[in-house]
Amino acid sequence: MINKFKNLLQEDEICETREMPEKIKMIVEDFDLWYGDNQALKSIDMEVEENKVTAIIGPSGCGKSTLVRSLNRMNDTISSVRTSGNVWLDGMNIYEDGCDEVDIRRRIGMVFQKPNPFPFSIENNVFYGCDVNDMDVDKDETVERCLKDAALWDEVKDRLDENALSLSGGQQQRLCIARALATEPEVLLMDEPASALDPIATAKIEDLIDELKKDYTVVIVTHNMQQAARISDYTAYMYLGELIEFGETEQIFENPQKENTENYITGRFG
Amino acid sequence: MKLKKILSGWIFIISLIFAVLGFVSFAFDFHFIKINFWTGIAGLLILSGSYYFTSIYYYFKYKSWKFIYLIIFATILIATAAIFIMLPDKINLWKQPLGLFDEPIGAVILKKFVLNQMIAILGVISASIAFAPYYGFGKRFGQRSAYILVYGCIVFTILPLILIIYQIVSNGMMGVTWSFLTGDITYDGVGGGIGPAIVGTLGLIAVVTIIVLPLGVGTAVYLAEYSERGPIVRVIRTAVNILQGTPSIVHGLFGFTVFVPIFGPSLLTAGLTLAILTLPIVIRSSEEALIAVPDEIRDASLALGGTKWQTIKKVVLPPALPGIITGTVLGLGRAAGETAPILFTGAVFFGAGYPDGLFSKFHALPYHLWSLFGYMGYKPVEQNAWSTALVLILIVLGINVTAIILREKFRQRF
Repeated sequence: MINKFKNLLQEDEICETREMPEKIKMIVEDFDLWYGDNQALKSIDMEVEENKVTAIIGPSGCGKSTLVRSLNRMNDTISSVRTSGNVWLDGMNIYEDGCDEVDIRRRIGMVFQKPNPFPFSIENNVFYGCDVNDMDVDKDETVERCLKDAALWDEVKDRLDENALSLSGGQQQRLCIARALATEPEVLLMDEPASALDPIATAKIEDLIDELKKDYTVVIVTHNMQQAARISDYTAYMYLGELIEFGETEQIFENPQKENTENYITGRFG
Repeated sequence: MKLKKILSGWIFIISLIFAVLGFVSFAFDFHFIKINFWTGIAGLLILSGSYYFTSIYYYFKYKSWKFIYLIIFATILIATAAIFIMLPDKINLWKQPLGLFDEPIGAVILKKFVLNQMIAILGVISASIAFAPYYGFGKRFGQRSAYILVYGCIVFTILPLILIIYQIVSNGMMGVTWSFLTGDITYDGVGGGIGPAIVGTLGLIAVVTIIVLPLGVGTAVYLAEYSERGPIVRVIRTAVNILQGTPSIVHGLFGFTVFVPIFGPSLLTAGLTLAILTLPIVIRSSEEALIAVPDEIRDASLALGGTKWQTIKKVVLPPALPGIITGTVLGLGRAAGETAPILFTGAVFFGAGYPDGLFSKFHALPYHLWSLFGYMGYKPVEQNAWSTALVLILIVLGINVTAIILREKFRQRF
């Protein structure tokens, strides 16, 4: 009943639409972002291909986290942020006034740098997204599916009612991924998901990302270039709020077109 | 070398005994430990004599004036003793008997506390001075004295509490009987009981809770979660702070002029007035509890498609609950003990009986206690007053213990 009502409301909202090129999930178009007077993103143009991993690399403070947070309008929570330009998701402009950012965030999941599980049980953590979105799904099934997708099921299946904070850091991060998968998102944004983890946990997350791209489109921010080279299909290199170069990962790492990119990749700075 | 150690150790012990005696007699007044005047003087003389001995011994043994300050200190001690001896008996409070209710309160305080406190402080100073030659100066001494100082601060902080509780329990305990707890209030404060006052106070707490909890938590949620930095929030915050700093008697007058014309002097009026008094405490502690919830889990909830209200309801409020409860209950404890706000708004001394609704006049423990003070000096009333104070303190203590239990129950870690 509530769902029906919600759908009714959403049908009334008119979002600007456009044709999308084939296999392209998201398009960032001439996108600027300011924190107060400080411009953090400068006319970004970028495409995210469906069922591929797109990595965003660059030195600290270059705006890569800001960019990825713009893709699901998480920057709306910061009051000083102003934006201009468009971000298209399946032909729908998510920065249009008529767009419901809450629904956008359901469709575009996000995993943060620091594992941030809720201080309640593992299964409630996973189910939280379904709960707040009034999704009509079976709880046990969803929890099992998501935990299996996040390669965490075997480790926690006997203690689903335990507090999520009792898990290790790497497990917490995989739980956060499982939690993001529960709302059946189309795109999964990851903001340096492995930076707080040890090498073994990192390897697990990387394997997981490789698995996930079969069903999801993944955008990952990382300051670890090897990681970007290992797991991504496309790489965007950012520097001081600008997108310097964007292309296939192989091309970016083996044959960068811009000198700045080459300097960063060869480790001359950053 | 050995002598030095023995000597300063000896001084140290004597000084410590004095310190302990002083503290104990200060804390538990003169009921069972009494430093006799001449014993005190003798102690002072022994102490100063040993100081003289130490410093002169050092001078001859090591040709060092290292402990010259002991001579100065000993001279001060002897001068103090001499002043005490020479004081005429009439104004030498130390030599006079003590009574609590037959003398001006200032004299009692001076006699009971100041003199003993002085002995205690002298003892502490002597002990620390004797400590120096015993352990030698330097890092270690500095470390130890810092430690002792910090401990001293703790002692001086909890001492008043111990003192208050001891006084009230020792004086009030024998008056607390079943008939006292359930009996009706008499017109002159003699005999009878405080049943209606207990019920009135509990009813008052209930009214205040019902009013203050939603208002306070709501305001805190607005301030912590919805508001953005700006003039409006600044005004609200300043208003809350001013409200907190307003004397309670002003709250009472406010209730008298605003609520009494509407509801008459009643439980509801007094509850509203007390709620306004308690509100800032609840708002501030709730806001702090909400701010303490890490932003990461707010982001996590929003990123999963939760609305702001869902985020607050499901993710932010549960972990903030222990802090909110603690703050609220502490505020209630404060409200339970306030006299001034209920003075004009519904509390009466005699004749209200048990409250029979929100709009009836009522008795309350703090107001009852305050009224009994008018009869102070008359022993039966005094007994009633002490017992009332004991019951009031037990209720407030009970509220605080409830706060601790609830906080532990709802505690969630991050």
